[in-house]
Amino acid sequence: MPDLITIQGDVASVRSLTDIATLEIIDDTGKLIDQNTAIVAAFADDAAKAAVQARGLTVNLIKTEAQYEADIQQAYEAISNVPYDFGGNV
Amino acid sequence: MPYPSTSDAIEASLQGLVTTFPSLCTRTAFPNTTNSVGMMPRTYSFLKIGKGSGAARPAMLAVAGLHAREWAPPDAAVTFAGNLLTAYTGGAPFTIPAFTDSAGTIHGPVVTPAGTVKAIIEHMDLYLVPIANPDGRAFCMAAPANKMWRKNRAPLPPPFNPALIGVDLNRNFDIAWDFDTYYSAAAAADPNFSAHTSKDPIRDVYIGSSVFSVNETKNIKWLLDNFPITYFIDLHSFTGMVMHPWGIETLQTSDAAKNFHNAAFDHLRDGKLGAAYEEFFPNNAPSKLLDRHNALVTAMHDNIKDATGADYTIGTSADLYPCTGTSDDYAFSRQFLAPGAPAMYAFSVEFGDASEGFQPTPAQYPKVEREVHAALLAFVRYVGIWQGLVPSVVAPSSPSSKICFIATAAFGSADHPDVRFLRSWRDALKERRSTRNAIRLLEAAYSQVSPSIAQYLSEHEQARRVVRMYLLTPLISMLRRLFGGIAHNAN
Repeated sequence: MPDLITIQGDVASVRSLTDIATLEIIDDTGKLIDQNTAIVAAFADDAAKAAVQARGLTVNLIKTEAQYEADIQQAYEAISNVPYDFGGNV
Repeated sequence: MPYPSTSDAIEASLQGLVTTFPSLCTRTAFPNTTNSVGMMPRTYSFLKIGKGSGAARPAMLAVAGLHAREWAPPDAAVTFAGNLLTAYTGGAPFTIPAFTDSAGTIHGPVVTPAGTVKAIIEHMDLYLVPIANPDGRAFCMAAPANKMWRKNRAPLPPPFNPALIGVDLNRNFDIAWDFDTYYSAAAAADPNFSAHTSKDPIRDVYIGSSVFSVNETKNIKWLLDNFPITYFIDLHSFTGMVMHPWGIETLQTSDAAKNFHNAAFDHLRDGKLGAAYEEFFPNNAPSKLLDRHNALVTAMHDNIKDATGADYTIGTSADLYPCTGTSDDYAFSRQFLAPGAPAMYAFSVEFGDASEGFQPTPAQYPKVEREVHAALLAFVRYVGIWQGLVPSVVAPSSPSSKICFIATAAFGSADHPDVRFLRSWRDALKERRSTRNAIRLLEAAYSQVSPSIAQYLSEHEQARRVVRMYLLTPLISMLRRLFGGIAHNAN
């Protein structure tokens, strides 16, 4: 069950996470908090979260998979083909 | 609220703006249609906002939606245009409404005075590309299974392979595009780079078969080639960052020889592996490129924080991760390849956070929308200040200055000691739990009326003298007597 998490810790350790099989780092979400600390968002199952924590990195749960899917569903249901109305002719 | 809008709806919204404000904006189709697998070629447009003409008008370009899955910035770019034009037409300020965060703290409202709105519309040209990857967005929105689609939908060079579709548009611009030539082998193989830029067509971050290999990036280049744009901003989501170049390398300001077009450094550049090579970023007068880039990212950060409380990270694009072929680096780099070219300022912003993600829910969207509007307002306002078109006396110079519009105008400077005292007094009360909400409510009411008063004061010395003598000086004297030390004893 992959949840949406953020992973924070020293840059080298965050960079080394690519070998965890069930950790799916979202490519374009990494950023530096300061010179030595990075944060990245990822989808992770329990095993992946444990493996990340075992490397001394901080895992924060952003959304469970169920919440993430529910939110995505809401966004998709709201898709609109109606243009914005800026008040008609003035 | 139409969010999230389809690509068709965004195009129709642009036409709606032109219909509603025919003397203030135009819609122009790009010269190249899209060319996508399984889709009809699509004609799509950019919007130009501005009243009047003239060679001296500063021209700004804002681009959104290069990445298909980033749903919020294109909608917010459209509503920014609509709100700006509506404010101008009504002679009103552009007000970003107050926002209550999850902790119950009220942020904003953030008010851009009517005089500034007027200056933007009448003396500047804003080019807006709200959806730079319309077919990618259409594919992404077609089914939740496509929710993570990032690239465009272009077919790759023959032989056709249905599994290999699309190019990461924000890796396809002509800046260090062939990274194997640009970087050392070690830098090109560095996971911190290779995770975000790739020549493998199956990857989300595929750079394309050649520079400007797809029509969507050709269209952005065409805009930059054919219009006198010297300010550029690219709107993305979702990591909460306000950035300026370089993305290709860390930067330095002293060694002009270390630059992206100096072939002597090919295969030697080290990305973020070390400091042996760092990209030159000039900061000499009069352009003061680096200082001004830093000032503007700070202004955008501050305006965003004022609007929603979100504390975005400030930095260079390489702070996010080093990468090549990006739009902001490309726009910025052009000035160094054309002798005599005017200075170019370029930025990119990653809006939102992980909880909002690439596709904020309709309930989450208003926060991200406010942040996009706040950044764009700071962007255009600062351009106006630099060009001498927007009176800096009414342009907030810090996130805490808006309650001091009138005092700033009356004393002529945001740095006048009495203005600083008022700011610190107000900020101290905002820090106290017992007075925080009352001050914010007072601030919200005050900021509705103060910009227009400040605008009037900035133009009338006699009125400034009266306000100083009979209102502010007695008020400040009283506050100093009663609460003189409060700013130093907050919390």
